[in-house]
Amino acid sequence: MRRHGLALGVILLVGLSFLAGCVRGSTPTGDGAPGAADSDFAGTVKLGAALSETGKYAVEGKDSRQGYDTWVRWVNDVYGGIRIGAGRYRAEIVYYDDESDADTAGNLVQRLIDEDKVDFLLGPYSSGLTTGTSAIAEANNVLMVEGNGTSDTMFERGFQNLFLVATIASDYTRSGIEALADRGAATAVIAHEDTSFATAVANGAARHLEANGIEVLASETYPKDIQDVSAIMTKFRNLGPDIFVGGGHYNDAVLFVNSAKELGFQPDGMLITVGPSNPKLIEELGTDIDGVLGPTQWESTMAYEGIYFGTAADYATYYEALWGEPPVYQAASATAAALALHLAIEAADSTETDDVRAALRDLSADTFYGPISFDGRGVNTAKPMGTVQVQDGQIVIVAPDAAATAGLQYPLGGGTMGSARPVGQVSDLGQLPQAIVNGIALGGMYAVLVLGFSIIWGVMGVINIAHGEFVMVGAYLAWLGNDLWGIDPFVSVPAVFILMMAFGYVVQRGLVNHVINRPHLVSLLVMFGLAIILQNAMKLIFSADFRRASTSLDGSWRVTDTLTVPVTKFWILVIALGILGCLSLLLTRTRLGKGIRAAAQNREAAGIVGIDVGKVYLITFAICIGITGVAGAMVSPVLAVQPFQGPPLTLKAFAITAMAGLGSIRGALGGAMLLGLVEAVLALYVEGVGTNLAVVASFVILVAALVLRPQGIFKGLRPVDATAS
Amino acid sequence: MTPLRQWLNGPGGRLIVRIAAAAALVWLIVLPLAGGTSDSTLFTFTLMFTGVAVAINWNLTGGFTGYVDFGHAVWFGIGAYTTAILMSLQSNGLGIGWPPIPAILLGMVVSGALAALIGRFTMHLKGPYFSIAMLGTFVAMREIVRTWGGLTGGGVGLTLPPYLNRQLFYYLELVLVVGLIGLTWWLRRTRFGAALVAIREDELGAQMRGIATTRLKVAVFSFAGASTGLFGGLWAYQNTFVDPDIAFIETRTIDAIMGTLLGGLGTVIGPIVGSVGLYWLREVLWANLLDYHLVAQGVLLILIVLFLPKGIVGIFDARAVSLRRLWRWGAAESVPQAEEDVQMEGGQHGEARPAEPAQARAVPFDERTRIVEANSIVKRFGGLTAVDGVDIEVFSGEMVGLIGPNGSGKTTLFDCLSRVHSLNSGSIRLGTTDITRLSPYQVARMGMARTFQVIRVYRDLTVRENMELSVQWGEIGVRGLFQRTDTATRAKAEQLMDFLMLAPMGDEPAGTLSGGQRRLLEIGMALMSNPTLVLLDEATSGINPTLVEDIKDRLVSINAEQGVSFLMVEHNVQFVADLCERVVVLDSGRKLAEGTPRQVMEEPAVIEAYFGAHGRQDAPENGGRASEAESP
Repeated sequence: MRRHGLALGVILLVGLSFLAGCVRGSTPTGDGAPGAADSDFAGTVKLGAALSETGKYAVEGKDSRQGYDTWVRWVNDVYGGIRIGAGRYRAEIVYYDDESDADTAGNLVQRLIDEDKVDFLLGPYSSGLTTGTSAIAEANNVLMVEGNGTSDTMFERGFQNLFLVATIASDYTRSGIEALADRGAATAVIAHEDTSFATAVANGAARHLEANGIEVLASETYPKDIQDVSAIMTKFRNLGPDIFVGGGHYNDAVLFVNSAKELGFQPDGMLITVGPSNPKLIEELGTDIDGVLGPTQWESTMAYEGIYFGTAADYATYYEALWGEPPVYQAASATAAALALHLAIEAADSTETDDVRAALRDLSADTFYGPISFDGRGVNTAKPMGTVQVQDGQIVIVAPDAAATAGLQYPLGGGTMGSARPVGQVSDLGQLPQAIVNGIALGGMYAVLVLGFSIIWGVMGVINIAHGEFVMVGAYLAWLGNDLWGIDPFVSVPAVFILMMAFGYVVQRGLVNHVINRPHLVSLLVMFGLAIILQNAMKLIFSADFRRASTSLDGSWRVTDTLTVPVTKFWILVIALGILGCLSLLLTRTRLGKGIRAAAQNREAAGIVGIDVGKVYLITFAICIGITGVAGAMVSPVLAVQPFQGPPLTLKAFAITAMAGLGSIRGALGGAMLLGLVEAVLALYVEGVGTNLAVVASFVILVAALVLRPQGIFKGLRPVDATAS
Repeated sequence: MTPLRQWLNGPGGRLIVRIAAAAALVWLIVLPLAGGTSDSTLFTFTLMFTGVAVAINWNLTGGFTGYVDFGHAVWFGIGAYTTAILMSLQSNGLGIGWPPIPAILLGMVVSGALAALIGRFTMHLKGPYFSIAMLGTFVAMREIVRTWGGLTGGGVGLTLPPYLNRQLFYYLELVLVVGLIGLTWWLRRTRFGAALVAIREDELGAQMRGIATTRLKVAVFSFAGASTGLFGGLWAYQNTFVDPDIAFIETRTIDAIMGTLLGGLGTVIGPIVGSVGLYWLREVLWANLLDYHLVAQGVLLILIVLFLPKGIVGIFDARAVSLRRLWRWGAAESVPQAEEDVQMEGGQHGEARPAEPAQARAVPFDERTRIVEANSIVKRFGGLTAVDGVDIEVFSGEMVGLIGPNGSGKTTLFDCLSRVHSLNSGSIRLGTTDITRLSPYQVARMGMARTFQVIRVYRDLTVRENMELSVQWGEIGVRGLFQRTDTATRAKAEQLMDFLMLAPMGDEPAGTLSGGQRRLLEIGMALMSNPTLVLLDEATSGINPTLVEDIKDRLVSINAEQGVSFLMVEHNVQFVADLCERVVVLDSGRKLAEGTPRQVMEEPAVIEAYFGAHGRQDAPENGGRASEAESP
């Protein structure tokens, strides 16, 4: 029996890895020139880049790499090699996966310089990774040309070896704001993720707004990995601005669009920093994102033309032929960075760092990407930022005028965003009902998200640190049903429940069963291993692209002008209460429930009196994973679905469970509601950093609750013995 | 495996290991000087040193002390941020641009101080609760740093003046890591290190034997925090840039845990072997499995946990701690069912046969002073009053029995006296000192030792180590804490083990002893601390009758020769009657009777309460009233 189960576990592990492998074959590292023979070339120009193939920048990392590889293919196959002197040199890029981690990226760039002896460096993805790696490039006097790290602070360090072909972060919103100001926008609000890049964009936006005579009514920040922005949107709704400027990450775009809809917040214009220019995200968000504006470094429809690659459209055709998908601007920026370097090498007629640096400084070229000319900081100031608008599901360019392909729709009217002007100002106290509704809605979502975690811990003593990953798998199942057959995620709840129960059954039999009699730490570490496997297997299967399921149960019910109820979250709450009720009945009214409670209280005693504890655990685990999957299905329209969405959810589950009592159904509900309300109220009533503070508060509450009342606020299923002495 | 282990632990093996370690060190020292060693190699090694250092620090609390910290990287982040804030020239309110050395050192001090402060609260928790509290602290701290933009630069982060001398950092971190390894190696051999292991094995037991557990574990936690903070500061300087997400990154904690588990928990070299092993393993996985390397890493973790719970070092070193031993609930073992039966029988046989009063005492009666005086002790658990206004006193050199039926509050009274439980009311004096509010370890240091109904020995430690750990901690002082066990203590332990017939088992782990031998060991541990009073909680339960006679002889001679007083809870009435000149009877938390064994046994209320089955037939209501009559 035991051996059988272990075999099942091994099969499970191998199977997951294999499945992952079937879907996507391994990609070669270091893309040379498959077409041309080496003998055609006089030598090789070796470039290197650390890019994120895994971790949080996996999507953008992949796009950047395809961008670099597009240039490599072109320069070797089409162009015939970089021309230096009389010879033609083959281009080669050595890649390493930096795992979206700063230390790894730094180490890899050092390795590229020392061991691979690259002549030049191309940038990694993101400002955070570029900041650290460019310091290494600077110290080693190696040039780094990049297109995807645009934070202003990087260029205030006086570095000599860092060049950016893209528009710098503080100018991201410039053309959009200018266009909106022309159309009469007078007031604005800003919300931005508290990261290097998003802050630079927002600070730039504030400057451009002011320069164009638009008053900034409020500016709010929020931390990374946020799951709810309704407090920010409630504040903004009350201020009634003409335009909203915000964003930082793909997930934020989903949150802002959903939240605006839920709260009936309808500004005349919405400018979201990251998202609107990405066709994949537009596909996921559907009509919800219609009318939203966003900056873009580059679009294939822009009227740019250069000596190499031809027009922007020509480039897009070439790119699509190579990769089977149209280029996003991150890819074009990467190609442009490599191209700028290429042009400078040819202009210098040398690969010496000093010569090429001088040539980069003097460079002034028109390319498919736009004009390129660097200022003293190493920033390309010749290329303006474009602004796109989603119009009927299509991305059109609305600014600057030179590149525009369609007129700006402003103010938004008749579209799905609605045309009603926002409500007027109400007092702080007048906003409390909305804060409470937001808090309860958030609490309902938290409750269904933590329930399975809490019961597995309470009954089995297993800390399921892979909880967030089970949510993620459930969300993918719902998304898949939605994407393939158009099934509403709420309709697919029963199917997801059954599938996830089966999955839970297999995991319990194959893995958890072998560690159940060991101390918590053992099972926790095993589940942690499973979490890593699930994340990366899902990434290999579905890629790291953000997904979102669409539901017909969306939008908001308007109770009064200052009070709306979010429909999706309302139904999540209803189903959550239904699940809680059913579970309560199961635990108190059935024999199985008595068995579960007995096993939770004392495993040995339950075994002695004839309860099949193994079976009880199997059923408990399967049911809890089923519920967890359902939670994932229900939040798939609310939160962006992606392989790495799990850990923040697990952390929330930890916090609520430890605070509220192990395996307590009332505790899960009460703790979730408490946390939801605290976060909603705090985020609403603190200016500027309220949402940040709400996140701080939730963890301070966790630690304080543990220290002051370690047995939990509510009575749980399991007797708790938490203090050391 | 075993011959290999034996050889490695023998003189030849030790020599080889030492030569290998010295060779590795020499290689590391000359590596940067050798031609062709690139900066990237040095950088790789520097990062590895950082990883090793963090793992060593994690192992101090996680492996030695048994406190599994899920948020250890918080100290790294705080060290990094303090350094960055001090060194940064950006406008962050300070913007003072300190030179690196004081900035990094202050980073170390700040993380150490914060660790001491936070540890003071979170180390009250045990098992997963401590782990989660630390995880919460980690996330909270990261978000506080992010929110407190005025000082920390918020999410944008801080840029430091770049200074990338790889060779300098390499040597600096090499020296620090080697120093840290030496320090842990030395610490493991001091009483301090042994006390940490005692905390891991049985924290309450350690406290009851006079170890100031809270102070020691907070001290080691704070040291680990400071040390990790130091490496955080160095990292910030090398990275030239900090933001909340790269300074406070979970993988640093995860790598420390994985490295330590792979190498061997609770050993000095485990974290080193494991972290280095993990690093190279990743390189191999990464080079050969590309897209799957993270999946493979997850599989690997599961395999280590399932099949190598003592890590790589555990294959060679029996002292490595299995990770299965952490997060156990209730360190003390329960008395097996069979032993309970034996004890019940003993109780039946030892019916009221009042014996000769005890032998002559070393201390004449009239010279005796009162050692313990407890007045009107009340202890309630919820609605149940377990001890209800009991007065009890013990004189020097006296042997007092405490008897009563099951559930009469004997052990609770013991727990009150030895300060495990706080009182609802009443007071306790030990000698002339009021101990009503003192901690168990303070009471133990004042000369009150005890044994436990549910045996508490450090199961993974040898019998000898158990004995040597149970010294009079009050006499050790701070200096003694950082020394190895002295020869006098060792001699005393040997002598006591001889005396208690434990000498042949000296090198066996205490967990392998029989129940009776463990009782003897507990008595030995109690006697190691030079007590004036020993509380014996059912010292004879589960012990065969011939051994009971031996214990009796030993107790009498200790009492006679050293003047140690005993207060004993016993079910074996014969044992009490043979030893004690005075007996106190408890029933339902109240004192029912007190006097010589003979007097007490003749008391009708005692007969009724103690031999309830017979008594109830005679006078069921009489007994009930008798106990009521005594209530205040």
